Parts: sequence; C-alpha cells; structure tokens
Amino acid sequence: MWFQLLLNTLSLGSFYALVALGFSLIFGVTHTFNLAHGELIVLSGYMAYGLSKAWQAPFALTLPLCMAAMACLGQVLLALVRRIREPFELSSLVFTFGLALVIQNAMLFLFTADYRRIPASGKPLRLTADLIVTRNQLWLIGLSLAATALVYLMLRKTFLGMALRAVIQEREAARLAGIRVERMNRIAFAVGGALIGLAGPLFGQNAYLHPAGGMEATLIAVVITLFAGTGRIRGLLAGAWLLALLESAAALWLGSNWRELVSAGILIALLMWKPEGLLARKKPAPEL
Amino acid sequence: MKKEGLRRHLLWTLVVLLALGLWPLGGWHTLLVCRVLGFAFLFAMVTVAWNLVALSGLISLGHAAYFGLGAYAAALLDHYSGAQVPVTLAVAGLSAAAYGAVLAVAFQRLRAASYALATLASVEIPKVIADNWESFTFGSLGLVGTRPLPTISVAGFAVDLSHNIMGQYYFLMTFLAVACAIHALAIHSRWGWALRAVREDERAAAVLGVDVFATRFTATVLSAALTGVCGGLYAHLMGMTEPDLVFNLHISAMPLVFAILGGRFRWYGPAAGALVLYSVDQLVLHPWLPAGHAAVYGLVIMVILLFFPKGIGSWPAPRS
Amino acid sequence: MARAPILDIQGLAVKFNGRRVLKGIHLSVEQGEIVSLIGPNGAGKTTLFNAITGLVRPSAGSVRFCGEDITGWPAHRICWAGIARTFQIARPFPEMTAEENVRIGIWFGKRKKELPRSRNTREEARRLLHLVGLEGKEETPGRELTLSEQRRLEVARALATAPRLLLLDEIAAGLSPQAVSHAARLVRALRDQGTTILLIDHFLNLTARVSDRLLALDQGETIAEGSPAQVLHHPEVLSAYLGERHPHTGSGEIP
Repeated sequence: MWFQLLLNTLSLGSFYALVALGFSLIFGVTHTFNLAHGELIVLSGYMAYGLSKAWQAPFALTLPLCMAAMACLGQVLLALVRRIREPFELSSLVFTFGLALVIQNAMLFLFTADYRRIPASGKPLRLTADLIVTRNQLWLIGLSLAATALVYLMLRKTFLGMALRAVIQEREAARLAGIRVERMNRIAFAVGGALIGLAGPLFGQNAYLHPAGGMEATLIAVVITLFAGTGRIRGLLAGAWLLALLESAAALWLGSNWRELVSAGILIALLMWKPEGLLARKKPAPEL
Repeated sequence: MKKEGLRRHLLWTLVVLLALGLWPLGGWHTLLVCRVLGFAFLFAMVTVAWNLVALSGLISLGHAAYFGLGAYAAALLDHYSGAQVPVTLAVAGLSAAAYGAVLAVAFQRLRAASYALATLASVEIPKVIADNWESFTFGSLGLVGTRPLPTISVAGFAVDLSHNIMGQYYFLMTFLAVACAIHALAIHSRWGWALRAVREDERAAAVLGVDVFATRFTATVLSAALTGVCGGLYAHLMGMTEPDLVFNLHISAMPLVFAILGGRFRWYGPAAGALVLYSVDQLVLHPWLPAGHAAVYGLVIMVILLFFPKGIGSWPAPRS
Repeated sequence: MARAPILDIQGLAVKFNGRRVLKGIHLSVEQGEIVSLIGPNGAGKTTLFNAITGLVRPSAGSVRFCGEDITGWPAHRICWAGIARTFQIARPFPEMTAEENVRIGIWFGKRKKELPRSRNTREEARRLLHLVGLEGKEETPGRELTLSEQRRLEVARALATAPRLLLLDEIAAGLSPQAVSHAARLVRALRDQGTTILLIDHFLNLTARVSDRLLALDQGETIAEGSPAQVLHHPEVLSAYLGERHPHTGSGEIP
C-alpha cells in the first residue's frame, strides 16, 4: 500500500511540475502573473475531451493539437498583455483574474457544470501483487517528466536557453547585451502555452474536468514557482514532488478533499515568509 | 471643495436620494425591478466595503472570503440556534471582521501583487472548510431553509421583509446608507487623510506620524465586517448557502469592477457604480445571457486594464 | 557636561540580508547643534537615518532621544517623539497639493490628543511653505513640482510635525549656488529657533557653512569625527573620498 501511495504521489508530483513549468517560464521571462493559468489548462482539457467525444480522436493525437492551439492562444494573450501599464505585476495579475473569470464562464456556457472525464486509455497494469499503475498514470509520468527534461535541456544547453535565462535573471542587462527581449517574450508564451496544452488533456484523463477547477491548478503553479524561484527547473521538480507528498499526506490523514487546503495554506505561508520574494520589483540601488 | 461645487454636489445627492426613495411609491414599478435594485443595494454595500481597503492602497481579490463567512455564520447560527435575524447579522459581521483582523495582521507586510495573491488564496481556506466539514456545514450541498427576513414594525405598520419587496427595498437601502456614511468618513475625516497618505506614499506617511498599520487594520476590519453583514443578508434573502455560491470568484470580482468604473475616490462613486452596473447587468444582460453571464465582469476588468489611461488607478482623486 | 545629549546613538548596527551595512556607530548630538554626516556613496549615511527614524530595524545597539530609548519603535511613534526627516529622493504625496502635503504633517505629526484643538492649519501650512520659498505653489500637486521644489516641500512637511530634531538628507545636492545659500540660511534660522539638525551632505555643499561638527562614515563605520576643519583634513576621509573616481560633482570643495 505504501508503494502504491508513493507511486501515486510521484505521478501527481510530476504532473504538478508540468503545471508549474509553463507558469514559471512565462512569469520568469515576461513578468506576466498569469492567474488564468489553471483555467487555460482546464480549457485545453475540455478541448481534448471535445476532440475525443466528437471525432473519436485518439488521445495521442489530441496532445499535439491542444499544444498548438494553446501556443497560439499564448501569443494572443501576449499581444494583450503587452498593452498593460505599470505597475505591471499587479495589473497583469488583475487582468488575468478577469481573463480567468471569462474563461470559466465561457466553459460553463459551452460544456455546462457537469463533471467530464476523458476516457482511460486501456487497462491498468499490475506491477506486483498490490502495486497497480494505470495507463493514464504512465502517460502522465512519462510526458510530464519528458517535457520537464526537455525544457531543462533547452534552458541549459542551447543558445536560445541561455538567452531566456539571461532575460529571466536580468531583463535590462539582457536587452543591453543585444538579446531581443520581445522575441524571448513570444517564445516564452509559445513554450508556456504548449506546456499548458500538454497539461490539459493529461489533467482531463486523470481527474474530472469542471469549469471552476482551474483556480486550484493556478494556486499549485504559483506555490511551486514561489517556492523554487523562476528558471530553476530542478527546484521546481523538487517543489512539485514535495507539494504532492504534503497533499497525499493531508489526504491520507484528513480525507481526500482537505488536500485542497494544502496549496492555499502553503501559498499564504510562503508569501508571509518572503513578503518581498518573487513579486517584488528589483529594487533601485539601495539608499545608503 | 469650493462652495459652488459643494452646493451642486449636495443638490445632486438629494435628487438621487429622492428618486431612489420615492419611485417605488409611485405604484408603477415592477416587483422585478424592485427586487433587483434591492440586491443592487446589497452588492453596492460590498463594493463600498471593498473600496475601504482599496483606499488604503491595496487591491483585494478575496472579498468573497468575508462574504461567504458572513453568509455561513448567519445560516449556521439560524440553523442550529434559531437566533433572531439581528443577532445572526451581527455574528455574520463579527466573524468576517475576525477573519479580516487575522488577515490584516498576517498580511501586513504584503503589498500590490503579493497582497492580491494572498487575498485570493485566503478565500480557499474557509471555502474548503465549508465544503468538507459535512457534519457541521453540510458540505457542498450547503444549508437550505435559512429563515427569511422577519416582519418588523415601522411606525406602527408591520412590514414583512420577506414578502413585501418594497419593504425589503427600503431595508437594504438603509444598510447601504450606513455603509456610504462610513465610506464618506473614509474619504473626508482625519482617518480619511491618513488612508490617503498611506495610499500615496507609505514611508513618507509613516515618518510624518501616520500609524500605517493601524490605518490599514481599521480599514480592513471595517471592510470585512460590512462584507460579512452583506453575506448574512444574502443568506436570509436567498434562503440557501452553498460554498460555490458564496465563495465565488465572481463576488470578489464584482466590487473591483463597480468601484473602478464608479470612481474610487468619491464617497458616492463605488455605490453609484454598483447600482447602475448591477441593475443593467441583471435587467438587460441576464435575461439575454443567463448561463455564464459573470464572464461580463471578467471582460470589463480586462477592458479597464487594457484601455483605460490609468489602468487600475483609473479615475484618480479629484483635486479638492 | 551636565546636559544630556538630545540624541544618543550607541553601537548602532544594521544588516541587510546578512550584509552589515552599519557596523556599530556611536554618535551623540547636543541640543541646538548642527551635525553633518559625510562620506562616499554606500557609506551608510541614509541607512543611519532610516535606523534613527524607525524605517529599518537595527540589529544591535541603541538610539536614545531626549533620554528615552526609542530603538525599534515604529516610525510614526518616533515622529510623535519629535524626530522628523526628509528623504534623499523626495517622496511628496503625488496627488495632494503642496498645502495638503504640509497639512498631513500638521495633523499627524503629534498624537491626536496633543494637537491643539482650534488652530488654523491652512494658515500654518502656508507659513511653512513660505518659509521654504514655495509661496504661490500651494495648489500645485506634489508630482508636478520640480525636484528642487519637492525637496523644499519635504522640509516644510517635516517642519510641520514640530520636530525637536530634524534630519535632512542631501537637501542641497544639485542646487544652484543661490539655492544652496538659501538652504544654509534656512538651516541656521531653524537652529536659532531651537531645532537640532542632523544633515547628510555627501557633496559637502552645506557642511563648511553651517555645521558645528562633522561625522565621516565609510563602509558603515565612523572614520573621523570632530570640527569641520579637523575632519576634512583627516587622511582617512581624504582617501575615502579620493578613492571614488570623482568625489565632488557639486560645488563642494575639498581643502
């Protein structure tokens, strides 16, 4: 039973890493605090659900479609967000709060408030006598870790990745060094959007889709990003597994629904602990 | 304010008050309009309350927490003890105020985006508890059968606030008047100047002798209390309280829209914004787009931030 | 001396993220003195001001004002006790008029019960604005004032709290020679009315003209203290200033 729990935690944690990855990339590069992150994931999940319901599209085919659609939506979002004025973090946060509300209600309108689930892709596998892994979980772990690893390699090993990391760390200096920050913004939204597109169908396969279900995913992304800092993939993965572990523990001891308290509680605790953490503007030279 | 301006200002206030006060007596109103305006008074009160915090320079995305807590406090008290409505409303206000006080202390070092985010997360805590404490709160099904507002006697007449929609209308209007008086104080009193100084430059305010924490604390607690009373009223008006209904994002978004569009820095701004926009929303938009019409609020927020010249600080302080 | 100092700082230290920005400063100021703090950028002058006025919390040491230990008090209580300050980068309330800016100081600078009941705050605010040379700007909002006007507004606003000790942070930086003379006259006039003054003067614009005593800081430590002549000729002060590429861009002169 403990192994089963650990396996479930591992799959949940890997998925959380994927959820946080897109958020963290977009926030790190563009400083856009996207509160509609979770809603976009749920939207992508509904899209995959629609594709599989209407045209019996196989799950593997829905993934690239959703990823492409969300990457495009990311560009639209960037074009809107670019018009936002100072104070940028707060304004983008409130703006995407509005966007979240719009997406939520659009989904309510299109898909009603019923719970939906993308059908499972095949029978579960029995690894040992009491250790079962579903095919959904295999998809989830495999794709989440693969995407995380790819982004990690991209950031560490490629020229583009170096430029992105430079923008994350010191935006103005990167601009002075000749990096085209505008282009980096587009790339961040494209990659972030694709990651959202990937997370959606996986979410819809492993949990129930509901129009109001996005806020939880947003909080998870925010918590992990605050915990790890931007542009630190390994920290992100560690944070994601840790969060999944805490949630599993809460679910085990308190009951499954109480785990929703964990991310909100940790978020508030993190903000109180590091009030000037991530969200603070880079201070002007300290007045000495 | 110049004498001339003040006179015109008072005149307008009087005209609007008389119009709002007298038109139902004309007899040509419909119950629907009366009912909608009653709810507009309720949400105007939430908007006014939200603006108390905004006047101290913080944007809250979590007023649904106070609203929901108030609703649950009233509904639970009604269910378990059958207390009278004034008592349930007082407890609704007090429990929300207590949560507001805790948050004001816990979030005292948070500003701008951090504060907005923290308040957003602060809704989840009471919501998850209400959703899961089945034995006490009846979980996600919520409480039903909360008693409606009672019959009160006004100058010898018995007014049944639950069925007499006009009575309800005036009842809710009274609450809004009180909220507006507090709001006017938050702009024109000494405390109002403290709020303004804190909003415009906190450090400068502190070294000039303004107690920044106390100023914000008072604003937050008052705001929470007023919002909690609104939640309590809502529970009695609707007769049911569900987590998804009272801890809804949309309740946090509404005051933001109403206050920014109505004008955040005049005493009547948030209330006027709420009365006009909520009525339009319910009377025009709702029949036309019943499912998901809350999207409109999201859309308006987006438009404000994109197209209004000052974005979130739109309609800044009038020169006094 | 029999008289206790109005401000007595003992071993004051401040840390930012584990970095020690002030390393045990000792300073005592007598009633009616004008003391200047000088030193290169990053010496810790403004941090010392912040620690005195309660904007940063000292990690060690104590600040006594009029015999009372005010270490770690919140900023508004320190203001009530009688310490006012200006900021190096002026922070007027941007949407308030100059007059309203000053009235905030009048209304909140003392505890509510200590405020005189009936007084004409408007008159008082205008008098203070006149004192710093801002007559005619009463109705101009803070953000529309020029930088030098904003700085003068800050002085007026600080005076509105009726301080016994006034901390002035670089009020003369970047001013024209006439404006510097005006500032020097103002500082002396304030002292003659009984206000004790501590001023930061990186560019040495005012120091030689007004101060009774100098304290030179470098990298969070006191390197010299004494009369202006003594301190300005002190070898460590010279090397601290000359260590910077271009020490004096203002009208300051190093003897």
